[in-house]
Amino acid sequence: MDEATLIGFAKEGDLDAFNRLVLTYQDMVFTQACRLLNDEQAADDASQEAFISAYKNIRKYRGGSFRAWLLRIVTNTCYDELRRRKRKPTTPLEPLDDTGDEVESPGWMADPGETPEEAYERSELGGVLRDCIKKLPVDFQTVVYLIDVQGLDYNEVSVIIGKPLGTVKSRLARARLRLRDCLQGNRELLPGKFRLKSEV
Amino acid sequence: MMKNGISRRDWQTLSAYLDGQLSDRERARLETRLIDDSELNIALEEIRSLRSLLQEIPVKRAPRNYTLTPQMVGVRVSQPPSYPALRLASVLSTVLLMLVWFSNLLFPMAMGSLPHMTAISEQPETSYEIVEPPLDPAREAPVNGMDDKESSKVPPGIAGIPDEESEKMEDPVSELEGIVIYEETQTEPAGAKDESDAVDPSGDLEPGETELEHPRLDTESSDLDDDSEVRAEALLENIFSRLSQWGIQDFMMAFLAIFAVTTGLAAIIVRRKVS
Repeated sequence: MDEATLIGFAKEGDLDAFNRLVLTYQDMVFTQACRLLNDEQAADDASQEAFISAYKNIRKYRGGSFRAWLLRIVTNTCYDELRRRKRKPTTPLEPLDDTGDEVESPGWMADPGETPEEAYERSELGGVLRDCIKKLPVDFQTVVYLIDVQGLDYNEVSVIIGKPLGTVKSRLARARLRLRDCLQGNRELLPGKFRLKSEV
Repeated sequence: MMKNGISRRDWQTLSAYLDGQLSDRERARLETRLIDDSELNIALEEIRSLRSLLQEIPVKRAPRNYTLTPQMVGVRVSQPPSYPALRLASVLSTVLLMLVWFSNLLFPMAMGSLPHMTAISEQPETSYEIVEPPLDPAREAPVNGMDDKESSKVPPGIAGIPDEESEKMEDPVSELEGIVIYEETQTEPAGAKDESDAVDPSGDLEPGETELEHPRLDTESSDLDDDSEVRAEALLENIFSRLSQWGIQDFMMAFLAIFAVTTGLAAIIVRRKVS
């Protein structure tokens, strides 16, 4: 049974058909939630919440990329969770500068007291990259993950984040620039084939 | 300007160029510049390398399945129409059974649930005919052939003494023993023996043997098989005689009990199938 048929059945309330879609996309949804929340437990909850929300709103789905539609739901769910965290009177995620604006690259977030496991992870390529992405603002992270990691096109991402195409282009370019700068600071950790040309 | 000499605008154009997001005109202009602008080429390679690095980030596996249940999405499972009907039938029949049972307990005579008891109390002489299961002429013959003195030797359960009837009915074995004892008592008197022979239409019966017994039953030495067959026969006879005494209320109670259990079980099965 193809995806369109399953979506059709799900719109009529067939939970089994929807669950087959869940099994197809659950890894993608969980990955996206993990990247945005940086917390597997919270990502687990957000993923479940996203699928529940998707089922309840599936009648509003008007065609197009179902993957993008799901990613939009999970992204919004993660944003809600991040906003909820911000409202809590705990250490803010991003510091404020002298003018009261949020500093977008909070280098202060780097934990000086790393565990051995964290130190080991930092020595790996994936760990370096993850650290660099973590330093990006959430909006930038979202675009990078959706386009460069999940492989969506600009139009899909524009729908997911609810912003114009120009904003997507701009955010992606700025995110890539910051990532390049971040990786150049750790170039000794990168394998040769990933060394940037400017270092040569 | 950025540290490698290209502007942020150029960087954004290069980023979009790699993703195929430029218009034909923008792409042509950029490609012209790329021919002799080494810094632009370096920046393009940087973005390309970074993008391939990001594309190698593995997708995480979900720690569990996020499949939904009806409870999670607040959907009530639609029950088949037979379920409420079965449930109602089971409840109603149970209530009715209880009512019949209580009325039977409180007003046994008024409800006429025990016809045999009524018959005994009103007509003790005729109660035997009501209670006693029909006997073969061959079985009755010795009794009829005996005088009053001999008939007093006839054990309970065969002669049908009304006072001992209930005791007989409760113990099929005692009835069986009664039959055996009856046979022994019938072999002794000569008169009775003659009578027994006289009523035997086939002439196959040995002295002291009746048609009620199994043909292979030997009055002097019976083996285990014969004994068990006789017991089973007596038990069946006892059951049928009990059933013949049932009043309409007893049958109603049995029917209601079976109906309540059956519909209840059916309702459970239907519900489990749906869930």
